[in-house]
Amino acid sequence: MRDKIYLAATFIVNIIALYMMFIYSPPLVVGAEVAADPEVFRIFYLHLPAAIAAYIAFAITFIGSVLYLRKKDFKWDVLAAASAKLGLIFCGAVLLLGSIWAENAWGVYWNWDPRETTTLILFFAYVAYLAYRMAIEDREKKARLSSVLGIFAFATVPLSYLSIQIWQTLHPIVIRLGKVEMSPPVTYTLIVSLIGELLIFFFILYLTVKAENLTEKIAKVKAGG
Amino acid sequence: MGAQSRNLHIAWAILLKDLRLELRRKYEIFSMFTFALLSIISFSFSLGPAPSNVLDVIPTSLWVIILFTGIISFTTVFIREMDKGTMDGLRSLPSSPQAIFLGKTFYCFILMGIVEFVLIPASMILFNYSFNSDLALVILTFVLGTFNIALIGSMVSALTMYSESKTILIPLLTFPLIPGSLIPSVTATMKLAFGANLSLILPELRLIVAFLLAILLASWLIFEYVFYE
Amino acid sequence: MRKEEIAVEAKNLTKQYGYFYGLRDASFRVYSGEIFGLFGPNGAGKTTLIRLIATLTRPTKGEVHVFGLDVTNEAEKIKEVIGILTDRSLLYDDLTGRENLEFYLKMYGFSGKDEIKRKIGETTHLLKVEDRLDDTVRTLSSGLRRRFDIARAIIHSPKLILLDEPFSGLDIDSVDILKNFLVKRKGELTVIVSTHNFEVAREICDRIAFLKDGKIAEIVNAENYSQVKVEKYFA
Repeated sequence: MRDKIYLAATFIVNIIALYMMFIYSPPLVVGAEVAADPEVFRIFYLHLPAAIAAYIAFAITFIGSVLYLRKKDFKWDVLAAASAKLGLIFCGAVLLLGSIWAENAWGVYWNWDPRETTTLILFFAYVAYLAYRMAIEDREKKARLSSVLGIFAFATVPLSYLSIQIWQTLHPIVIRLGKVEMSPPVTYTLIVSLIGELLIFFFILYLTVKAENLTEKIAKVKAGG
Repeated sequence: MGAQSRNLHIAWAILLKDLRLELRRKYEIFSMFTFALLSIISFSFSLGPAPSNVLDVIPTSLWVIILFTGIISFTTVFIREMDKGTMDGLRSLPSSPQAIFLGKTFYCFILMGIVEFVLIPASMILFNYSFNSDLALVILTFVLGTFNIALIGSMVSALTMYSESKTILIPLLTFPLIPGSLIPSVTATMKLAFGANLSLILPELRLIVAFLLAILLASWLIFEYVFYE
Repeated sequence: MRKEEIAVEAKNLTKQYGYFYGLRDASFRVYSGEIFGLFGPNGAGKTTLIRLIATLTRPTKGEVHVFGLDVTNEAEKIKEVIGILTDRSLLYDDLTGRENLEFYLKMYGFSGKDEIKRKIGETTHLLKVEDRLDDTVRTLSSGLRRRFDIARAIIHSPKLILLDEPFSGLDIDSVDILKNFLVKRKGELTVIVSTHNFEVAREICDRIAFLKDGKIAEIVNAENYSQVKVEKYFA
């Protein structure tokens, strides 16, 4: 029953968000050339929440990894892995949507901006984490070792942001990602869209974790637990 | 002896043992040298004689070559022990896993250092440039940057010794972990090539050291989970 | 009921690999100075049990104490007083026997050059390998290599040694040298040895634990060996 309520809420909020994104919100223009198509900027409403979701997913993977090493309960590893899978998808979405927006605004798909590049590195971190998990068969080793990787990635990936900022002072990029004019309609749309995307994120995470935990239970019973 | 001096004693014993093994058979050091020198010569070909923008290209090229050369060495750090079965020997010792990790990291560092010792002067000759800065600063930058790569490499080596597809996983795992240190290393080297003093490269050095401390802390706390089965 | 010192005490010792049970609810005691055998087919749990006692792996459930020390919390102290022989050689192929033994001695905390030399000399003499000390391990036959592995296991004078299938694939001379070495040391050295060779086991062991499918089926004293239906324990 609770699942159905959650699903309904997610659905409704997202329908509202879509309406607001495409109809309610005025077209945005963010410090770009006149020739850019203002309608394309609506992508921003999907792009920013996706980024927030991707970073939250990273934090959840980190927390799941730490808790698994401390408690040795597989459910934490299930959480870390599910979050990583979702994080990968949302991260990919951020990069894709961001490129489309960048191309429209400044004529280039990629800017090597610190935020963009760190997100790219995060994307590779997710790929590495998931590929590593696939390469280990033993259940306990998979959990323990990918937890170590998850913690290590959390320690090293965020530092890239600062590194790239410094690198940019040597290779100044004329185009800078400016601030969006946050007039009230834009702010409201953004908030609704953010809530909508986070609802989607957490709902899929919840379902994935639930399904994986069931799989674990089956494996446990099969082995005579 | 005290716990810390015992740890150093152990790290030192591991370092010597691995260096002795490597010098006997020269498994990896030969591949590393070949790769590094072939790379630098390839770069030389593609840039042509007396290129005008050498200083723009050289720092990046050097670090890319150093990184890939390092990746070649990562298999020897732990994977070789695992494949030969001697990993249990290390696990049965009353030494802290961290000390063993440190010893292995130094081993990787020295292997890379030996190659860099030849590579960097070779590049200066081939490309006809020199660092317009204090030699001490140049050495410091390369030492710190290389040590960070060695730290990441040791951890990646330890992680991948349990997995399949090591060949693809080693670079795959290294890439997202390394930019935090690699980028400031490249930037600092670039600045040094054009002639920078300590204050100019301080932001980079700070980052490299921050990275170093972050990894050391993380490894210290969690390496034992990788070390024991 | 013997009143000697207890070398190893296990209570409900269990090891799971993921969901699979390598060892289940093992409870037993090994007394100081005895040679305790582990007998059973492949996959019975002998290696798992040895690795648990050697602190190479942690128990999933239950506990085991070695000379009163808990394997989970006091592993480093335990490692100082035990030696292990695994199924794979723990020697470095491209180093000489001497270099291998020196390395391990240093890792155990020995530092004096003379002391190291003395210990190497004594141990290799016991196992009759001292004339091959300066040959690269790669050049040694498997019997000699195994004897060097045993030297490595005892070089730091442990109180307990764990031998995982030490006799398999060994030539007759090496088997004899090893058997004599173990029997001579009864009383001063505690030995846990696993094997699937019942003849050797009954010859040297004071007691034998019979394992099957991860469980200890029975522990038998020397005088009762002939009553055991050994066929039960072949896979």
